Amino acid sequence: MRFIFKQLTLWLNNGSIRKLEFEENKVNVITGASGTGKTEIMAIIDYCFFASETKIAEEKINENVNWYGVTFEINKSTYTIARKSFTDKKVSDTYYFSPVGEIPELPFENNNTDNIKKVIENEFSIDKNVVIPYGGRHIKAGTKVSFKYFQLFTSQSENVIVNSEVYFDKQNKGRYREALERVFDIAFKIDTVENMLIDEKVTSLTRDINRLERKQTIIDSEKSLFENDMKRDIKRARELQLISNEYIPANMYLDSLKEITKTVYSFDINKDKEELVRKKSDLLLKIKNLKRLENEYKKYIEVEKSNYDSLKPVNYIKENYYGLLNFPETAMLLQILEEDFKVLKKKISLKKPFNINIKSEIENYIQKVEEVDEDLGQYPEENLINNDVYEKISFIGELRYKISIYENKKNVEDYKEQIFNKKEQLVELESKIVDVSENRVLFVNLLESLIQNYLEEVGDALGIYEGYKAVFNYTNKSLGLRKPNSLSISNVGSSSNHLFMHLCLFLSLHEASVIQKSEYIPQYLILDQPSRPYYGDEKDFDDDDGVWNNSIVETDKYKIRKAMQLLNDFIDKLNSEYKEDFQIILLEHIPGKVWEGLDNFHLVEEFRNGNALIRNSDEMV
Amino acid sequence: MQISNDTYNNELIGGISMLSILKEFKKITLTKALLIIPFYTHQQSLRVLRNNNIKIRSIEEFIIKYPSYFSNYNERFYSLLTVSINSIILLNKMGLITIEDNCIILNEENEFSYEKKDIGNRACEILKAGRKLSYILKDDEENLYLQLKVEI
Repeated sequence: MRFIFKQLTLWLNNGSIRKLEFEENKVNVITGASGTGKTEIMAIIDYCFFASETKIAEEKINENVNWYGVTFEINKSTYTIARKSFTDKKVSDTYYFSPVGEIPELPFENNNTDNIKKVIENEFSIDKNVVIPYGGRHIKAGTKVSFKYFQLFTSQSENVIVNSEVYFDKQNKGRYREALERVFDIAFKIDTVENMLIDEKVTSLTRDINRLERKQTIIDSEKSLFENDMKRDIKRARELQLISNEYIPANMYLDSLKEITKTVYSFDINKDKEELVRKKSDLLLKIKNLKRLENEYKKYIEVEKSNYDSLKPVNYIKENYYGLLNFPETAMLLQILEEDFKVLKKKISLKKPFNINIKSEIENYIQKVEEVDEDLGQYPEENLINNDVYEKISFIGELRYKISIYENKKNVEDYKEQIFNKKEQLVELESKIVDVSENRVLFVNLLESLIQNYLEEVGDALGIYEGYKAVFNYTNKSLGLRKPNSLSISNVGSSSNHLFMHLCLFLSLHEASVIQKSEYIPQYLILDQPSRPYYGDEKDFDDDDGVWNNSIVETDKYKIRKAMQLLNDFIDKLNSEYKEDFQIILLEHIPGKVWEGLDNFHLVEEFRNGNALIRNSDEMV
Repeated sequence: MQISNDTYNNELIGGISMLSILKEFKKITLTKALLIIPFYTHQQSLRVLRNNNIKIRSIEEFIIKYPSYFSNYNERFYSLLTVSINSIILLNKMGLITIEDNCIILNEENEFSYEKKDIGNRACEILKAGRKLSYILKDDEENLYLQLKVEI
């Protein structure tokens, strides 16, 4: 995807404008001494593209800047985004946006983050379907891919460019670490968005099916358990002869059991006989009571005759004195009672209570009992209700309760149909899915062969690793070297070699993206001090102070030149072989003579001798 | 002396039993009062007493109509004797009755609530039965003791 930085603009607090202009199909070099703000350029670009935190230095830079802005071309449109400077590390939400790349005298807020992002995302071909295929700790599955994730392929910051393990920027941030893994396939069209959508559906379907099948297993095992229970009940019902002898299939168990509870059973209880027995026992009770009354009378007469002196109630009360409420009145009361009872006893002792003629009544009852017995004679003497009937009744009672449980269980959803449908869907989707792993292998092959070309171009600058083969580790997104005719990856030493490996990988990635016609990866590369391995970043390679001439060994000079050559040739290659545009921005401190004779190099500015990103004249007086 | 909850309940019902009769008589001898509770605690007797459709005009009539109910009156009398005495003492203490000579007299100044919600179902039944039982108890106490065959 064509992407060209046209201009970097800083609107300064003192009213003046500081701008850096870049050319397309060029290696745009900004070279200079340390502390002049070269590296800030990367941070400024990041800031203008909605960074949520920034590495731009407050000192010298931010304190003098009012607005930061970039003007760039994507595909065929030119845009300018300007963002208000930050205060106290707090990034600004104030943006200026021009969809035609206009650079104003002074930006003003005319749009918001979301709207501008939408325009840029559109240029990056990101629509609602371009989503994170699977979730992680930092990124949720299904969220829209940010175009910033694709910028991972376009920059090599100073700390990363010579790293032996990490090849991509921002990998210290979990979000970007996860993002790289997740957008890599989309970026290089190893996986298409359509395919990913299908894949996502397949995954969720498989998950659903597994879940349902697990549930189904539980239901099945429960079902068989209940079937067994019901079978036992049927058997018992047969034993009790509550059910006909026909064979009952398993699916009819419940209905048959229900049938049993529905029918009203007239058990063979003889109501007449029961009535007679009840009558008899009533009569017997009456006789018993009457006989007792008779005895009472006899007893009373006897007691009263034999006992003149003692008063039974008084004795009784005295014996049970502990049961009385203990008040002064109690004693008085007892005294009164004693007197009264004495009188009473005297009066009564001469009399007899009337004796009702209960004898005839008793005989009457006995007579009736005999009649009942006569009637009962025609019934067998065994228990009125035999055990069998008891069992039947209790069984039906139990069954009523059990059926309510069985029915609950029966109503539990059956997932068989759902599972079947989902499996059908799955088969259909799976037939549509493109085997990504195959694509991956092919892509890795392509990438490795591209890298190999660059490694060969680097040639003897790789030292002892010259002639080694490129091995791209898809999982870690890193590059290794192996000896020809060997499978083991070498532990490549020397940061110079690491630098070349980084350059080769990134140039290859861009070439691959052009080959794959990726709509997502912008065709530019920002490199921060690829000469680091040869000199560190403390001093300047200024021609004048002789550092370049005096302290850089010849082999290192050769290697730096080689690296520059690589970049120069890459632009040629893309222009001529692929008819594509490309832009490299190089932040360096090498002197101009290093790229002498390389046609595609364009010196943007040299931050030396008082020239810097923010010059003294740019500061507020 | 400790009074258990049980005692307390029995004595209260007993007290109400006494009051059901005193409502009609205002005055009753102590010995006669002792006869009241055994009637009421006998469920079947109570049922007969509170039923307005059953006519009972004397103790003899009651015994003749329901002889079996009286086969154990003597036993009941004795087992409830302490409860009866306690009930009398309790009523006295509550100021609902006064004891004079050998009689207990209803203290009409102190009103007692006969509302069902205050005294409960059982007490209400007892109160209902009071009219008929008081009629029976109009008899001489010696005859009552004699016919009920309470052993003295």
